[in-house]
Amino acid sequence: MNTPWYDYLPDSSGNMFYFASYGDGNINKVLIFSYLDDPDIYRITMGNLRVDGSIDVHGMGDTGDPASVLSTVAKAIAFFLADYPEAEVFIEGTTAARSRLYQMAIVRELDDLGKYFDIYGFDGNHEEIFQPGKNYRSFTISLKNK
Amino acid sequence: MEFNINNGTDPGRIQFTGEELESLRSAMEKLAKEKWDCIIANHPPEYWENYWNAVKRRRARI
Repeated sequence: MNTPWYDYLPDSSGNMFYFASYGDGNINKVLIFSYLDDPDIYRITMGNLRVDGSIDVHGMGDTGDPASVLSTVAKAIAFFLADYPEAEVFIEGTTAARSRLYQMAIVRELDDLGKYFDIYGFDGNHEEIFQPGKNYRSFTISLKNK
Repeated sequence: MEFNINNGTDPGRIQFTGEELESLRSAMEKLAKEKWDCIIANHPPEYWENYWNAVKRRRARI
């Protein structure tokens, strides 16, 4: 994980994290892990916190610093999985373009992430160990040898 | 609820009150549900059937 990341904090539950990103502007990011239909599979959702307390859902690569934001998300996933070792984290963008953005982030972090985590890619038909260079729609990350 | 966001403590750190955190959690849970509904709707049922079958196979180490 050589990309710089932001200092993030978990809330007391350990499944919500928040941090401020600095790029073109100062944007407060919040991410939460929540159950899928399986008690061990969590999906991850991120949004931008506005000062009125509402969440902007469309902000992702909007700080001029998306690499650091995604690197911070990778750190938060590692932190979450350390707390929930049986969990699997499911990642899929709301659009194919956003899933590709996440895939690029995984490739960038793969050298380090791959040491500690099993990363699977799902193409709509089959799931396999994540292969850089192949296109997937979703990703599942879990601790190695859980 | 108006947030008094303090993110000038350490680089990248934000401080919230307990009430703000509660409100934030509620907003994030709502957002997570909306995004999930969107992702579900992006695909036909076969996609999800394939996904859950793949999860089962992986867990069974087939």
